[in-house]
Amino acid sequence: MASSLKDLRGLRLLPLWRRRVPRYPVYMNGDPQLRLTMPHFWMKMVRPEKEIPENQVQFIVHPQMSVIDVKNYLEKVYKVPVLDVRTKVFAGKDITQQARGHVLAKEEDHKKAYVQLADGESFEFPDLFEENKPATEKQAKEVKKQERTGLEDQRKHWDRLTIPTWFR
Amino acid sequence: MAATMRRLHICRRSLAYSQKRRSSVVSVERVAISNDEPNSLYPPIKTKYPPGTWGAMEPKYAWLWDKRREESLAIPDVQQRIAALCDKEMKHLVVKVKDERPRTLDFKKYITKTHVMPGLPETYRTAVDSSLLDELTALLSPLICDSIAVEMDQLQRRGYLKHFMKAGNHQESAAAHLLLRTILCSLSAQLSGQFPHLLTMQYDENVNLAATWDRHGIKRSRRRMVHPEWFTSDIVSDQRVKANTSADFVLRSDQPLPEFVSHDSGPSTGTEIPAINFAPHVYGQPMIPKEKSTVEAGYVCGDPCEFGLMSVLNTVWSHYSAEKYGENHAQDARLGQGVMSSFVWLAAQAHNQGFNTLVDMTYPLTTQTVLTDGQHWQFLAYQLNTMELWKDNEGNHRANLCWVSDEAKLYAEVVEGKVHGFNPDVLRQLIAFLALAPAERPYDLRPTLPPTGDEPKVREQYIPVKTEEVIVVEEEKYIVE
Repeated sequence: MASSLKDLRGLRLLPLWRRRVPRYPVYMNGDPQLRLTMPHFWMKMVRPEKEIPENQVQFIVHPQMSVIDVKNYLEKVYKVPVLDVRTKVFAGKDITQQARGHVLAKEEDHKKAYVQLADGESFEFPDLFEENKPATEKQAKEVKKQERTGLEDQRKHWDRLTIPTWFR
Repeated sequence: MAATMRRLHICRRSLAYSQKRRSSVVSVERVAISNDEPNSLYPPIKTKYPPGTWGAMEPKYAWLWDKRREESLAIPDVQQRIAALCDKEMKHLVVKVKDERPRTLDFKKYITKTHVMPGLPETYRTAVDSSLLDELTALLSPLICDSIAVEMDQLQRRGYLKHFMKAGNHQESAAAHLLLRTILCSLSAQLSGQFPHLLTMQYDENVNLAATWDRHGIKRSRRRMVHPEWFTSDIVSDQRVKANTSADFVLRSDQPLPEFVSHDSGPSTGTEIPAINFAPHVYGQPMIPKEKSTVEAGYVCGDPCEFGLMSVLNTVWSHYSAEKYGENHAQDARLGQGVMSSFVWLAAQAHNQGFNTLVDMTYPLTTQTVLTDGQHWQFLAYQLNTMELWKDNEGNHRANLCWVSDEAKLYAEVVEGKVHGFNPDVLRQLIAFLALAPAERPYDLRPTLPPTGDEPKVREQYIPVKTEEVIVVEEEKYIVE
């Protein structure tokens, strides 16, 4: 997560969107108001894993964005009326070695924003990749058959799993 | 090493599976139906489903529920029965009763299987004399106006107090609590001459209420493998639910209120609660890690007054919701609180009569709920028909019912110590709620429990009699030669 970043030498290698938001200077009375033309905030709309109602949208957002930031971003920049926002931080999953199962690294944590649109508004996630349609029954059967043969092969050569398949 | 471990794991799993198959044979003997022939060589026949309606439930899962029900019925004591139900630590879906977030009303209706109807039930027209109500309203209106003026006067005089009172905060809630206490106490004192059940009722403040139950239609998050080809989530579609809240004022009596409609006909059986298509987290309802369930009805088990007459709920918290999301969403949030709170209280009362999520109710229980912040009043009448919510609509055709009146203002404003725009209709409805008398039911209220003469409410002598032991001292005899 960008917020847990401490190593300043590596900072310049990071792209702008992954960098930590610079600290807002302390406002003293009479100072001119600081206006940010391009904040580090970003929001990525994602397809929900489970079914959600028409008036809800899900985003992955910059980890430092608060509920108020998300609401302002949508209402001021995109003119989308928002009723309510909830956020949740998800821990990154472990990246494991496939054969041995030990942990190699960890995926980055991410923050998700659940946005409820105002009354009367609705949104449907567009079908961006029409070519990637779900597999037909025939294709699904083939995949299952392949899995089955793979399993059978594993059971047959259970003592030689570490050896490449050509030498078994 | 890892591969060996995996092989070991597979061996252990297949062993466990074979043991499970053997144990299922044992269960056949337990619930077997005897053959017609007396000395038959064949084993007794087991029916596909246990007795009762089960809807689209898998037979194997239905038998499991039946087994759990019989285990619960075998416990003869109320407290032990509740303890057996709540003792196991398990994952719960926790329903927030006072939920500021919008659009959760449908979920709350579904989770309690409640059908909400506008208007109040007919019982208030037939059971309570309308001319007497009008008379009492006219008599008590000035008294209530005075008590409102007195409570508001302090706030009016000390103008600085308003700076502390933000929407839905503690100060505003405390002010409403004081006003409600004054109104309730003065009304119950004045009406007790006319309605004798108010003399024997119990009154309590800030009462904790909690209940637990299971609801059909919510898939479990964890997929547990039972067989190489199928998982628990394929047959299990219910979830243990838990809710706890607090009622600001509670009135209880020794007999239950009369039922509003019949248990087995009309809207109790003829309505279908629309299913929710989305997971609970969409409605902002969290799951908690393993924890024990709780059942609290606001009194110690065995209290002489075990049945609820009325509960008054403070809705000041929803002012914040109205400020943030709008008045429509705040109204829904308040109604959600009323529905959930009524259900939780009645379910907890039913637990103390021996019923629970496994042992379904044989008669309905009713209660009255008032939602108010001192100025805006809404009246709810709730009838709990069933607690067997883990069956689908086909398996259990009963639904719980809730009647809701429109929200109305008791007074418009208080200016210079005088109440303006007093609405006597609200006071009339409040008096009608207090006037509805509890009645003795013609059947046993604890049919699933054996009768015990040693209940605390029947007992007259609480301290056991101490029997004095008479010590006979024998004289020692000395033999003198």
